[in-house]
Amino acid sequence: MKRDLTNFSISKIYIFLGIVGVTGIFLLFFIPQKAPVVSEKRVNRDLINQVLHAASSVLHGAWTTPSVYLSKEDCHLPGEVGNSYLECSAEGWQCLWNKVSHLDVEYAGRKYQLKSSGKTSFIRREVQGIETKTGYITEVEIPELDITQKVFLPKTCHEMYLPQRSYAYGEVSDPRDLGIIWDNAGKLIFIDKFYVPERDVKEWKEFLGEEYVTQTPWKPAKLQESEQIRFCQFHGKKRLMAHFFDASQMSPVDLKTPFPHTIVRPDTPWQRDYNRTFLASSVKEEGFKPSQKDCRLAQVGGCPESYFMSDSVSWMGVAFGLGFEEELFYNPFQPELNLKKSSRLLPASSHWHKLGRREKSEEDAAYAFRCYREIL
Amino acid sequence: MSAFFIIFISFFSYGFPQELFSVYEKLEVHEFYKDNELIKRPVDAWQNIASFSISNTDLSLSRLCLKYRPSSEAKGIFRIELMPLKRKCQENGKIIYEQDSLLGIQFQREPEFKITFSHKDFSTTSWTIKTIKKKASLELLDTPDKFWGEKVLFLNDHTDFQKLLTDGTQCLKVSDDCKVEGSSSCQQCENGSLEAPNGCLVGPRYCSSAECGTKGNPACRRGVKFQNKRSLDCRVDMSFAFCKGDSVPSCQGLEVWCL
Repeated sequence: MKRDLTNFSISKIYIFLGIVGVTGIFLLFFIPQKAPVVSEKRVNRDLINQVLHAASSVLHGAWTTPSVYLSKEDCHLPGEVGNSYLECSAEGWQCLWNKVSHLDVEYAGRKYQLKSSGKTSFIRREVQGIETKTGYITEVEIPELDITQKVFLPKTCHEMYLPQRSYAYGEVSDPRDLGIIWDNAGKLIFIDKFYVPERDVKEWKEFLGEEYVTQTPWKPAKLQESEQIRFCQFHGKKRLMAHFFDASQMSPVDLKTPFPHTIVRPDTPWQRDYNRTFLASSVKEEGFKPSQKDCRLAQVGGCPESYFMSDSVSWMGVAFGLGFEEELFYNPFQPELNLKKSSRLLPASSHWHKLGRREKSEEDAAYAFRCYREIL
Repeated sequence: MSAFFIIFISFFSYGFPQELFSVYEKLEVHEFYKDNELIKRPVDAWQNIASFSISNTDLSLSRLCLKYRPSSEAKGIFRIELMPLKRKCQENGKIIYEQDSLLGIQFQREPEFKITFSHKDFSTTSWTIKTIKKKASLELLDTPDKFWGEKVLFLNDHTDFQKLLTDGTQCLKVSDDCKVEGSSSCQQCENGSLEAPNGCLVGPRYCSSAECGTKGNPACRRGVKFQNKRSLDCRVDMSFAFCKGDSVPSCQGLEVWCL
């Protein structure tokens, strides 16, 4: 009897220990608790957000100024094409990622590697949404955080702000004549820094399912007026107006006085006294040949061709004020004066190389152009 | 098995929803609560704490609403709902995140929106919600992204189907006494927009594919400061606007259009 009791107690102890053991294992594995793995995961999600936002400025720098990381030779561009061609462009982005394996992003004392295949797809916003209308979508990867993130790269880095001031339009026969004056007070106007290139027209045409072949995507696209209007509209812009162009090129006498009583019209974007320019010298000197420096300011007859160079930028950052290409504008003040004749087709001594001087374009002819946009 | 279960729990209990990586702009924040005030009441009633827009793959925007329902015990529920931008947080959206068993929450508005959760074991966790859009005033040589505050944007896989505004839609209203009514929706026009000059610094705008000054369209603006005039009423003097070629400026109310 005594032995039976002992056997009974031992079996009870075994059962008890068994229950405790199974319960322990259950509690260990199946009850949610703040185990290190849980908090690590929680930290990771927050960390991804922080690192991504730190990466934002690195991405912006690489997109807008890829020349920090590469030279144009890396992208097989001919010598006559400037670095600006690669800025905010799909080619620049692809070329960058062919050259570099990763970009460093620093956050909280640690470096993370930002990677991309460099592939982009062009996008136009077809629904209501963000402010920008066109740009590119790409993907970036941060291997340390095991994430891939879609990124939108806007196409805005070649649009220059026209400060709010009073401006002069066109030419006047007598310098004492005030001529047409206007102002853009309260307006946020942005003007294309360069001519619309063939690359952008190809992108537009392909988006519309039309064909456009170019072997020289950096050259200014030449389109008829109706096509120019459609192109600018596609990007949420309008065709550049003649008086906006004049404003972008005629340097104000005093930047600190936005609404002066009188406004001087300089003849060139880079020299107030015309007689001191190479254009004036070319009239006096027989057999004049423009120097390299002259050609950077205004590409006229006898100059080698160059594209996307910033040497000729005006006081507010818009290039190609004189010389380079014949350029078509919308001119509501004087519709018959819509073509800037000053171009590389004319010798330096031509009287057309003056700001504000325009003539009527040929009907249905194709010309270089640019767009502007006003934002609110 | 156990590791999977723990990750599964962590995803839904503590995870920072992926949509918060692409927060575009802060839209609204509850006016009543002060920064870092523990929200514990009114019990059992949903409150809209804040809302944000997020940028989607098609460049549309959607609305994220952060909602909280306090409880008398440690049973508060925090929720994030996703909905089209034009809808309000008072409506119900798609629940993309939920966290329960909360003692309370608190938030701070600046420099970045930060929300802190107090859990029933008296521990706290917090999220910082970073917005992409940061506006700055313009200076010489600036580009539009600086004004918009849009540089590179992170996108998420959602979409929104609100159509662009067609030609003729008024996208900016300005009263006759030059007060801008509401905000501009001109960036949502299908083919750009034109201002109808009315003598104000900022005039009303219409979606339009036309060029200014052409027949049947708003006149081009010549400006309101260059003449130093007192009267900018088109019925008295229309020199603040002009039309192209043979089209004639005409007052439509106080706006100048070309006929």
